[in-house]
Amino acid sequence: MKYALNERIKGSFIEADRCLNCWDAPCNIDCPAGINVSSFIRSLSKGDYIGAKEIIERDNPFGYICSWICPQEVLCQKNCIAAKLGRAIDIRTLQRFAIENFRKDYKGNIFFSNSEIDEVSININGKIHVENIFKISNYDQERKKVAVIGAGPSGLTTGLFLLKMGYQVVVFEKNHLAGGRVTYGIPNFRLPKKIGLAEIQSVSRLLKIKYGKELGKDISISKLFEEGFSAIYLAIGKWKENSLDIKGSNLKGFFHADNILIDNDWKKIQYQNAAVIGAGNVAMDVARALKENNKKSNVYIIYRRTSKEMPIWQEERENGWEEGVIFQFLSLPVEIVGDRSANVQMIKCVRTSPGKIDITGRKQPEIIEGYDFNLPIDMVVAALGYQPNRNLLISQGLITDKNGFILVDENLKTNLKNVFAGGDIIGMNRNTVVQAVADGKRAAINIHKHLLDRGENIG
Amino acid sequence: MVKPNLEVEFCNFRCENPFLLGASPVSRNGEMIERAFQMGWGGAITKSVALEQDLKDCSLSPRFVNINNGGSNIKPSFRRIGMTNIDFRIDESLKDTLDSFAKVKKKFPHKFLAVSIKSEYKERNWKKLTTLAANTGADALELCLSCPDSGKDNFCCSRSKGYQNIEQSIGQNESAIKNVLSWVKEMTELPLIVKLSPNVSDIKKIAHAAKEGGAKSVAAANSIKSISGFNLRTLEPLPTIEGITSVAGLSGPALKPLVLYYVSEIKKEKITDLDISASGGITCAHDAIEYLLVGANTLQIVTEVMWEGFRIIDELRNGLKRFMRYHNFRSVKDFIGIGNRKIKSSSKDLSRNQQNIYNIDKDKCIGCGKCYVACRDGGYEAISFSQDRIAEVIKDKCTGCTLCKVVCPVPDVIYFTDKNNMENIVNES
Repeated sequence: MKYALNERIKGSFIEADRCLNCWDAPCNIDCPAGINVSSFIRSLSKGDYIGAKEIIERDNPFGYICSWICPQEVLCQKNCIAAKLGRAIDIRTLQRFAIENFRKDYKGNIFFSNSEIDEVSININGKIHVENIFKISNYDQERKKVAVIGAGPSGLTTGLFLLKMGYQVVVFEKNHLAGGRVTYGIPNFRLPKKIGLAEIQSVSRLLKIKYGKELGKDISISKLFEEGFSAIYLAIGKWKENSLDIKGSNLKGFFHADNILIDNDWKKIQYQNAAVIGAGNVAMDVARALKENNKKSNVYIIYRRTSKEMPIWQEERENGWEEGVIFQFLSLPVEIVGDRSANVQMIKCVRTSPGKIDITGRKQPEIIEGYDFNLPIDMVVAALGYQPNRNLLISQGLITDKNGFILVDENLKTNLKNVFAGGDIIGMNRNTVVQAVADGKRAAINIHKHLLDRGENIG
Repeated sequence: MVKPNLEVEFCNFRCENPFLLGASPVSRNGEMIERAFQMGWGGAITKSVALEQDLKDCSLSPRFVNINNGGSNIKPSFRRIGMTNIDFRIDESLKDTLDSFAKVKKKFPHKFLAVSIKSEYKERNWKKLTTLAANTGADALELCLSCPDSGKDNFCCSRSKGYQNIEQSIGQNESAIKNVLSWVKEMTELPLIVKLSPNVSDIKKIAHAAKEGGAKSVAAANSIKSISGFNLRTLEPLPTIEGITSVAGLSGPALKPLVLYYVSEIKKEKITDLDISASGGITCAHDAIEYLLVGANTLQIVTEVMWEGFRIIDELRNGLKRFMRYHNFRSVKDFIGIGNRKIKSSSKDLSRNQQNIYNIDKDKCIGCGKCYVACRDGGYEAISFSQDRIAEVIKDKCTGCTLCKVVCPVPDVIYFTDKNNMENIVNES
């Protein structure tokens, strides 16, 4: 099993020494959760990993998970000044190093130590606002109840910070484990299950969580208010898979991404040639999972555009490449063909060529006639990403955009009174744990200010 | 082109180059010295031998601490500024040690070998040790009078307890030095090197005492008394030996500016005929040349060898040759001490006519903002830093202190121009 960066962690003190500790450092601005990156690296460079861990933990209760799966190349590392001297600082590895060392000291399983936190940083469009929780929570009102729907990273973060501010928090979760996408969906080779679960549990054990409660089925927004909750934070994520409109999707051997990423039944299936349709991070997760399960198989990613246009993190693409995932660029699948017993047999594709630039800024693929080809396969996975359940949201009275994401204002407040939303459910570009944490933190503070009715929101 | 000659005259001996192994674990026995000689080292001062080394059966453990550029000294780092040690000692018997020294001297007659000796402040011991050491055929003897970790009952260290009731090492007391020298001189004709302690208020007086006592040379300086720090978790000091530690000796690059000053001071005293052997944080040819410029005759290298091995001799020799070719020096003697006349003892003696201001090369600047924050909080608030990370010197405010250049991570981004000339140019245009 390949755990990226495992070896690099040994050189972390040396790596921390390379950090320039820039003034107004870009890494601090580029971390959605507002972690003071340059300051934790400075602590590390002085040998103080406990101090480093505290700085990370102050702003991100899921710092260890993020240190495995954060796409640093598009976040904190993006504008690293040290890159101009050769190579950007490997911030994620340093974060992992600090937390792993801390854990070693405390012999195991404590991640989030729930230390006294008085200040948190909120990153709003590259501006860091420091909020003193202790000060603002010092009020005389009776303890109000807040409901959090969804026990993913975002919901748990909100719950945690509201708890610190003195609220009664109840978290509703539709699954039987907390963690959301961290628990259900991120494959083991990117984040070992044990680590993800352990850190999620270190936070979830502090909170009152009601499992098996799904919005729309077991609970509803209006009912929660009737039950006496003063505010609601919606962090239900996006779980509805984008469907593939293709002939042959009813054949045996056709799967959806969730079948691969969440279930384990597929591992018993014999496959030699598998095709993954889609080109996002989910598709790559699926392809790598397939490749890992059967190293002798050929795993194709079929994509109608070129490698440049793939909506995927560079690092993930390289990982897939290294592990032997085969990319079929400029290929558009048109039909999945089955054999007599309705098993998937091959996939029919047409060649495309990059055409004019469309609204997304990418070249629109145009079909080239006469270059059709067939790929013999025995397994197809459609991994086209996820979307929110729009109908559910509308039935709860929420206003969504055309893709089904909840519309929120700059304070993460929805159209409903005292209902806030954050995480994956409020936008396409929010597909990281760190962004979910950032939203959760911001929501907690905004909910608090809103309930205090001070009329001053931090944006 | 003239071929540079690296030979130096030291203690009446012609060393083939000025690079010597200092008295330390790197010259613990004959085999190690032999290996260094084969690689091209000009000579060696052996690890100090003592009569007491036959009595005790083992050294302390641990003995070394890595001194980082701030923060925990436990963590590994490439940014270390030195190393502290406590109680180096040879674990072999005195006879075996001296025999191995004799053997290597016999094998390499053209290499300089001085045996270092140390003892308590007892005439009998010094005389006995001198006779033994002189019999090895060494070219000189070094008297180690200044172990930094000499303590009350520390047997191995050259302590002058009992002498006028002063609790200090011999190296800190002028008359004690003279006495020891007189004892040693009774027993041998060999040139004597006195290893000076940096822990003195005026190193020149000590050098004078050594000269008056009849020493041929002084070695400046021993490691400096220091405390290596603490493990904050356990509240135990470093290096921890059953929960406690002793005062240690600091060596390594951190010492260079200090010992450069000492060597320069001794050289400026113009004590005729007194050779100076410098040791203190020499890591490369550049450091070595600096020591030669302030007046050292030979250079003793220890800490860097302990870190990097005998192999650094190639770089040292080549670097020195390159320097000599660049300046057309035929022999090392041509430039020993020439730097001293350019060093005034007080900044009052310097001209205030030279006024620089600094400029930032925008093309090379990487925008880290370190100069901005340094100048703002530690300078004259003379650098502005814009939203798009462009640093600029505010020319009216800049006083040319160079702090910006100290913190800048990129070479040649910050350069200075003459303040007065700049004004002229502005006026003309």
